[in-house]
Order: sequence, then C-alpha cells, then structure tokens
Amino acid sequence: MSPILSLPPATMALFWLPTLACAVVEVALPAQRALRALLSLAGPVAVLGVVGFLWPEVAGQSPPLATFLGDGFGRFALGTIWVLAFFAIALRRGEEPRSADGGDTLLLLSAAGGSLLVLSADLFATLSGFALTLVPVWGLASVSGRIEGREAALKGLLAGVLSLVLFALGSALILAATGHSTLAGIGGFLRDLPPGEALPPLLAPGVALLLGGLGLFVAAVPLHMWFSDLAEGLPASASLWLTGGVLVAGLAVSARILLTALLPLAQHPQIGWVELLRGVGLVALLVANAVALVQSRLQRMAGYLAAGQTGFLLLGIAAAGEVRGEGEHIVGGILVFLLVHALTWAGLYAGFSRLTGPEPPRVSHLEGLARQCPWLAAVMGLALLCLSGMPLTAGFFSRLVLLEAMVSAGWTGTAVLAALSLGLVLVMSLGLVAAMVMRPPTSASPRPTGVWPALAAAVTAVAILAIGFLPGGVLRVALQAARSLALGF
Amino acid sequence: MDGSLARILLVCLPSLPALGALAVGVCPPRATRLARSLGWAFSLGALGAWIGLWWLSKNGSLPVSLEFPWVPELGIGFHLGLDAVGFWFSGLIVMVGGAAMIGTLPGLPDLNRSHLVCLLLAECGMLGAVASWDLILFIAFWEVTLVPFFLLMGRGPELRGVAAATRFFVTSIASSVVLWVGVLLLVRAAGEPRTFDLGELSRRFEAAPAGGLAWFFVPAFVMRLAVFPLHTWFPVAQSDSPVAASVMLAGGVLPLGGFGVYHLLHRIFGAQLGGTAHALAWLGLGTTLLGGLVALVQRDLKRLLACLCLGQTGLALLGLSLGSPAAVWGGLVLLASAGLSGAAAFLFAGVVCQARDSQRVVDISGLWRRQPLFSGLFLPAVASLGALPGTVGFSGAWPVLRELQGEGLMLVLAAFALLVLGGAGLWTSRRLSGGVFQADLWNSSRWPRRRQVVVLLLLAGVILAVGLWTALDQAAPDPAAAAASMGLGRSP
Repeated sequence: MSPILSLPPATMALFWLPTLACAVVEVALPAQRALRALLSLAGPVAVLGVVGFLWPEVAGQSPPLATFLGDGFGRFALGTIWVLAFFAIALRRGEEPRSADGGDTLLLLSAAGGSLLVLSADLFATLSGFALTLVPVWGLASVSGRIEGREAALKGLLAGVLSLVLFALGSALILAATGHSTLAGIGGFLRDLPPGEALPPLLAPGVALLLGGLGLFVAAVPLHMWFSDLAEGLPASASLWLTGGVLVAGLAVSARILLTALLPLAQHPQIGWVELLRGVGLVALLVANAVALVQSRLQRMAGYLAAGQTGFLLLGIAAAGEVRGEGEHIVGGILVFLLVHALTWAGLYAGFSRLTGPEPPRVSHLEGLARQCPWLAAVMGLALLCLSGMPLTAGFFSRLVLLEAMVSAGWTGTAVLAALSLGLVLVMSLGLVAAMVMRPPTSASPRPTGVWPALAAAVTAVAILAIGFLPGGVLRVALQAARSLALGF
Repeated sequence: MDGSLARILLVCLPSLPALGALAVGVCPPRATRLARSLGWAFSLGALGAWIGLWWLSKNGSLPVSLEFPWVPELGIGFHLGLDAVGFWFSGLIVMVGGAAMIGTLPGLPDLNRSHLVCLLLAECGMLGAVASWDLILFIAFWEVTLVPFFLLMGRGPELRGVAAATRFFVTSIASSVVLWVGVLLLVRAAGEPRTFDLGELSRRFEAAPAGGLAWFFVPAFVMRLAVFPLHTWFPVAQSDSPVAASVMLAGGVLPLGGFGVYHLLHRIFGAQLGGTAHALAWLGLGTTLLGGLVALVQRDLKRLLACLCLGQTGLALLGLSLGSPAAVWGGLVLLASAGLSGAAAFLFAGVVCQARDSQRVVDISGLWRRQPLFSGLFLPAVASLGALPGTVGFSGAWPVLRELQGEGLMLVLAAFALLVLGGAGLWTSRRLSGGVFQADLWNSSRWPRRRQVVVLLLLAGVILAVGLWTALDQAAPDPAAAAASMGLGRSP
C-alpha cells in the first residue's frame, strides 16, 4: 500500500459519497424535501456505522510515514465530528427556508473536509483539510440571506485565508528545515538531533507560523474575534457546525501535530510550546468566558464560550506535553472532552434553532421558555450545566481529567484558575436558566419544528446524562483510542 | 438479613427524594394536588427509610456501607456509608426536608411543581453528600445541591431572590472549585493505587498527614457554614429568599458545611485538621462574636435570625477545631441545633413576615395575644439558637466551653458571645410576642396553616427533647463518653 494513501481508498471515498449524493438530489430534485432529509441524515449515520463497527483496525497496519492515519485517535475524532454533522443536519430540518439552498451539501462537504483533517498525518494534507473544512462554511454564511451572515462570511474568509497562509508558510519552512512533511518524519528528525546541537535556523520561524495558523483556526484568544462574528452570522445549524465540528476537527489535528511532530520541542528553551500553550489557554479560558458572560446574543455567546473551551483543551494539550508519563491518560481525556463538547453544543443549539427568527436569537428570547416549552428548556439547561462541568453530567468527568492533568504537571495555580473559569461559565449558565425558569414569557412561543430536531435534542440529553452517570464505557474507548497517539511519549 | 435491609434503606435515603423529583416532574401541569401529594410521600418516605435504619441500628447494623466500582479507570467508586455521625446528620436532613416540604407553601401557585422538584432534589443532594464515602461522589452531591437551591432562592418576592441566589452561587462555586483541585492534589499525594475512597485515604494519611493540602478544603466548608469572612451571603439569602429556601438553607446547608469539616477534614487530616485547626478555631469564635453583636442591632427579623444562626455555627466550628472528642461532639450537636432551630425559626419568621407583609422587627408585635401556641413554639427555637439551658443548643455549647478551660481569652470571649446570643434571642422573642396586636395591619387570610403549626410543634419538641435528654441522661455530663457512644472516628 502506498504511504500516500495508507487507508483503503474505499474508506476515504466514504466521506465524499454523502456529499455527492446530496448534491445530486439538491440539483436534480430540489422539491423533494423528504428525500433530501433522508439522504443527508443517512450520510453521517453510514459514516458513523463504518467508523464504529466496520472499519478494520488499521492503526497497526499504517506505514510509519503515512499521509492519512486511521488510528484510534483519528477514528474517535472522526466519530465525534460526524455525530455533530448529524445533529447539524437534523437541526437544518427545522430551519427556514425549506427549499434546496445547497446547505446540506455544504455541511456534508465541510464534514468530509473535517474528516481528512482529523486523519491527516502530514502537514500539507492538514492544509488541504483546513481548506476543505472552511470553504463550505463561508458558503453557508453567504447563502444564509442575512446581512450579518455576509459580513461574517467576509471576516471568516479573511481570517481563514490568513490561517491557511500562515500554516502553509510554516509547513514549508519546517519541510525545508527537517526534510519531512509527515508528522512522524518531523518527530523522528527532531528526536534524532544530538543533544546540544543547534536547531536548523528555519525551524523556529516555521513552528511559530504553524502555531499561528493553528491558533487562528481554533480561535485561540487573542485570535478569536472572527469566530464569534461568524458564529453569530450563520444560521443555527451551520453555527453549530462551526463552533462544534470545525472546532473539534481543528483541536484534534492541533493535538496530533503538537503531540507527535512537535513533542520533542515541547520544553525546548527557545521554542518550547508548552509554556506558550499554557499562557494562551489560561488567557483564553478567563477572557473568552468573561466576555461570554456579558453577551446578549446567544450565538455570539456560544462563539465566545467555544473559544473558552479551546483554552481549556489547550491547557490539556500543554499538560500532556509536560507530563509525558501519563500521556495516554491525558490524550484520552482530550478525546472525551471533544466528544462532550460536541454533545453540549448540540444541546445548546437545539434550543437556539427553535428561537431563531428573522434575527439571531437573543437572551431575552429565553425568558419564560420553561413555561412555553419545558422539555426544550430542560435540554438547554442540561447542556448549560454540562458546559460548566456540573457533576452527574458528561462535562464533569471530561473536565476532571484535564484538571488532573494540570495538577500532575505541577500547575496547581493554573488548575485553580481553570476551575474558577468553570465557575464563571456556571454563573453565566445559571443566568440563562434563571431567564428560562424565573422570568415570565416576553415573546411569542418558539416556533414548532419537525421530528428530527426534537429527536436530536432528546438524543443529546440522554447522552449527556448517560456519560455523566456512567462515564466508564466512553473513557475506556477513549483511552484505547489515545494509545496510538501516546505511543511516542 | 439486617445488613442487606440496612443497605437497601441506605440507598433509599438519597434515592427516594430523587425519584420523587422525577415523579413530580412528569406530573401533568395542572395536577397540583397530585404533585404535592407525591412530593410529600417521597419526602416522608425518606424519613421512613431513616427511621428503619434507626430501628436496625439497635441490632448493630451501623455502620452500614455499600460500595462498588463506578469509574474504575479513574479509581472512583460508588461508596455510600453511614456511621453514627452520618446517621444522625441524615436524620437532621430528612427531618428538615420534610418540614420544608410540608410546612412551606410557594408564593406563586402555578410554580408548585418546580418548587417541589427543587426541594426534593436539594434534599437528595444533601443526603447524598452526608452518605458519600468517595470524594468524587461527595463533590457530585455537594455541587448538584447548588442548582435546586439557586432555583428555590431565586423565587423571592419581586425576584429579589435572584440577586441573593447569585451571591450564594458565586461564593459557593468559587470556594468549591478550590476543593476540586484540593481533592486531586490529595489523591495524587496518596500515591498508588489511585483511590478517592475516604476511608482508604484517611488510612494512608494516618501515619503521615498531607501538610498544607487541608487549606484547599477549608474555603468550601467555611463558606457553606457561613463563617467569617465568607458569611455575607447568608443574611442576604435569608432575607430575600422564599420560606422553603430559607428553611432548607438554615436547616440543611449550614450543618452540611460543618459536617464537611468533620467528614473530610477531621477524618483525613486528623484532629489538627491538617494544620488549619488554630485558624479555624479563631474564625469560628470571631463569627460567634460577630453574629451575636450584629444580632443586637439588626432591625430585619430574618437577618436577625440569620445572625443568631451564624453565632451558633461559629461556635460549632470552634468545637470541631478544638480536636478533643468532647469538643467535637459538642460541635456536632451545635450543628444539629443550628439546623433544627434554624429551620424552626425561619419557618416561623416566613409565615409571620408573609402575614404582616413586613420583615421589620418593629412592625411585628402582640403575637402572644393573637397566636399563643404558634409564638410559644418560636421560643424553644430562638432559645436553642441562643444556647440557653434545656435546649439542644446548650447541650452542644456546654462541652465546647468546658474544653476551653485552658484557653483563657478564648473562654472569656466565647462565654461573652454566648451571653450576647442568648440575650438577643430572648429579646427577639419578647419583642415579637409582647405589645399590642394591630389586626388591621395583618393579612386577613388564615395564618398559620394547621400543618405549619404541627411542623413547628414537632421541631420544637425535638429541640426540647434532645436538650432535656442530654441534660438528664447519665452520659451527658461526660461528653467524651457520649462521643465514644456516637462512634466518632469509626468508619463504615
């Protein structure tokens, strides 16, 4: 098997088939809403089925210098983003307009791009994954019909292009410095450098540019401004995909690059990234969550909160770089965190999508929701508690593992601040819960939606509670999945 | 057989209120009566389970314990257990939970269902925390309790409670997250195999206490116990929250904070509480003095009662920090007193203030003429808060004072604080009962309800019965023997 395509070509094609099928139906049969819905939803389900049950265990079979790796880490992240793709498409069913606008195809295309991203084990494959993930999102913003959407698309376009340029330049410099573009090759080169020998001169700027590109893509503070704008301008389903799926893909590939290719540089005195990530993560946690607290528009708030989640995860990655002995444990925690992030955002947006009218949903739209629509309020409340790491929800254990990683790294102060930021999120969450439960309704009842958004909300709530009460199964799977990435520790 | 039954009843203690919340939650929105009956039934069911455990304890079924792996990958177990102290505290919680459930009415009739759900969930969380012998399980119950309290408190008059609830919540979370990190540090310091089990951790640290880590635990407990300087949330919460939240806060949350000091700090770090005992003792004493002195100048009835509660919880912390079995026993009894008397006092205050539509002490007078039984039942509660003889408050305060014999300044200050507390309590009772009752200023609808009188009667009966029993019982003069009889230090 060629190292360029270490995965079976049929498997790689699987990601594109739903997109292709959906595009054909949207063009050929634009009025067939039911068929389009069925086909769009069947795509993620099929991919999840293959990832979960049929995909052969290829981690051990992949050549060491492969471009795409179907290892446990990649499969777990892949599953997570297709879960989100399913939820996003389900929420689209309740959105207006119902005519074919290419949205389903763009979402599936972006999900396919995200799949390449989380499986890529080469810097240039990662670059193409970035592009394929982002371009459809700009398209979604443009076709949304809102003026904010077009403005946000422009901002997203500029930020995205800058991210791609930075990443491409960084990759080129690293290739020039090390002679490798695959993650395993770069990692091997850096590990084999004799101690005390100077690093190649192009490496430091290459790593800096690469990290800049990654930071912009995952909305790491202070490079997060475009993210909340775009999250607000998109329709709810696409906003869910951006703040959930795109972010999960970006964070997963960031973890893979940092913990494989750049791990030998983790604590390097000149270009060590652990301290950088620790600082950025902490600032992101505190700043983004604090800014989210004062937002009045819900999707914008979700954008800031997602940036805060990025901060928490960056701290986890930094801790994994610091404490290599417990790498498997921490990487497992990172994977669970990503999955829980996906579920939480699906729960939040299940509510947002029903509140969306001609203008994006605002906090005031939540007032009295518990009386108008108690089950929807319950799902949103649960997602908010999960977001703030409340015990007996899935959020608790995912955050506990990462907090423990910080404690293991000896960063007690950082752990306390990270935990305090959870308190900040909890205060914000309870503010929203108070609006839903304690305030009388001030606006018309949320518009009714179809069966799919309701089903998505119910599945999310059950999953959040199930993982919260019995996290053992998910943790076991995540720890197994993490083993492939943690081999190099 | 008894052991299995005891384990079933142990699980029933936190589960029944949770199941009740679920049952009430799925009731049809208009079935208010059904929801209320279900709420009462499940709350009383928890009380029944506790009585069953008490019955079995006579056959030596205590300590009782139930343990199985929960998240073995992280070393977390599901370990519920009750020793003698936990058993009596769970009794306090079920009693207060039942009193709040039956003795309070929501101000807004259409919110009955969610009101009941929150009360039941709060009861479940507090019972779970008392019975938890795994630190993660403890944290889970400890934190989960916050949400129903936030929703309960937020329904104060004209939504004033939202500000109080937010203050309670922010203070609580800020202190609790430090506890999370402390637990993680503690488990790391305990070494392999990794465990969060309280009994196992206390065994590991028996020989070599983990110095310094206890400070991570202190803020969470001090905050819930409303001890200076983290006390400010309590008077505000009591003043602005509806009656049910008020009763549960005084009767459940405050004692639970003290129970945390005993359950975690005392068990893991020993009598010196990991080097925090001295500071905590002074903080406790300071809070007692502060509570007593501020009570003397308070004009708001609920805030005044809150200050008396603070005085008592401060003294309880002092007892727990002194370390000797007798003082610890006294501290635990004071916590029980704060819970029982606080619940009774705030139930009374809630009813009276609602009927008068004012919380100012000067607006309330002549109750003895209008409601002799009801205002008479307030006296034992306020006397116990003032630690007057014959009440459960005195039974706890006396051993603490005895253990202070070698500490001149502390003894003088504590005695002075008790005098102030007792004086403030009696003055309050006198002020409310005496004087002229101006009927035209009071609500014309019937108050108090019959069930509120019955609940207050029961609470006052317990306050007096425990106080008299400890005064007359042979064990009482020797608190150390009483402590031993309670099984202090024995783990399930």
